[in-house]
Amino acid sequence: MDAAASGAAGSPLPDDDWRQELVLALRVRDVPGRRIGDVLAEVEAHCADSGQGPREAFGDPEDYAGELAPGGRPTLVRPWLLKAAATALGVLALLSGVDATVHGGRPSVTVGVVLSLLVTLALAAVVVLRLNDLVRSGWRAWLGLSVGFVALTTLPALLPQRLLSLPARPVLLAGVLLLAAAWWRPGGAAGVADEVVDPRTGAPLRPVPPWVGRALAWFFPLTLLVAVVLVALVPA
Amino acid sequence: MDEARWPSDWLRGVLELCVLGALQAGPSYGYAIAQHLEQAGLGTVKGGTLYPLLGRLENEQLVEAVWQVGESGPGRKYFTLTAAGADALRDRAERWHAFVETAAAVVAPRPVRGRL
Repeated sequence: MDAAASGAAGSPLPDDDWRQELVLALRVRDVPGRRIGDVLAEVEAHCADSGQGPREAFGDPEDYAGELAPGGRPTLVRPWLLKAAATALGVLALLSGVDATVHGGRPSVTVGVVLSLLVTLALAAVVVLRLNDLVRSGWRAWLGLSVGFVALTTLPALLPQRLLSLPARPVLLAGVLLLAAAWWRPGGAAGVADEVVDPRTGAPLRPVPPWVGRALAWFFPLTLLVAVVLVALVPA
Repeated sequence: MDEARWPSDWLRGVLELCVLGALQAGPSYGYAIAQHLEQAGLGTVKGGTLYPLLGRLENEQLVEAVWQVGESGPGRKYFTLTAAGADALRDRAERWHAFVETAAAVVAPRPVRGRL
């Protein structure tokens, strides 16, 4: 969150930024929401007792997260990147499946498809490894991600050299299944099911501004819906 | 008496044991533990060092932690030594003393024999 783009009267406290960075650093280390709430409450209590600020008492939030979750930074096998890969494949399969089913023909694995998959994985890696920087850069981050999404959906059309040809309906079904597998969360719809909760009161904490949560939840499904409609309506 | 400034690698080696030791007197919370160690002459322990250590002790079930909502201000997380923790403290403290005596014997001053 930019210090200049605070919204409320005055700039956000540096403590808020520190806590937000810590939460994101813990999230990418797959620390569960309850433990994150516990950690935040510890920081708050200690700072209240000692009179120190969080940066003074706990240091850099990235380093602190590293001490708390020594499992290390996300690696290629982490759930977030697998989810991105399944999403990318799912979107491509869904869109080409819809296109082939509505307009006839067979979806193909083309040079464009392979390239757009690689673009998506590269973007996902950037998101996962630089999440704090992304959130701080606000609209620039969403612009970059939107450009990536556009690339994902248009590269197949731009580079149609065919490598492999597949039947339409199974591809469509595969797309739906991949997206469902990547995004289905038991007990938690489009929101963040693994909530950060204050252990003292049981109330949810919101260290990350609400717009981030909402944007993450709705941006992707909305864009996907638009893409599906476009593909179905635009004649082949 | 001015604050002791021990080499940080010495402190790193002994801090976990000292935190267990600090909890012998009864349940305590993070800041109070840090104060206790500082007053004992071990120097300042930052939150960034203390809480991950307490977290590890909790994972190993050597301490138990409970949030207690206070009358004044936000609640505090109180840590208590478990039975396993008390045993671990006793065993490791014994080994620590043996270790220190061993090292002390090696560094004890002795007359230099002649010159080369």
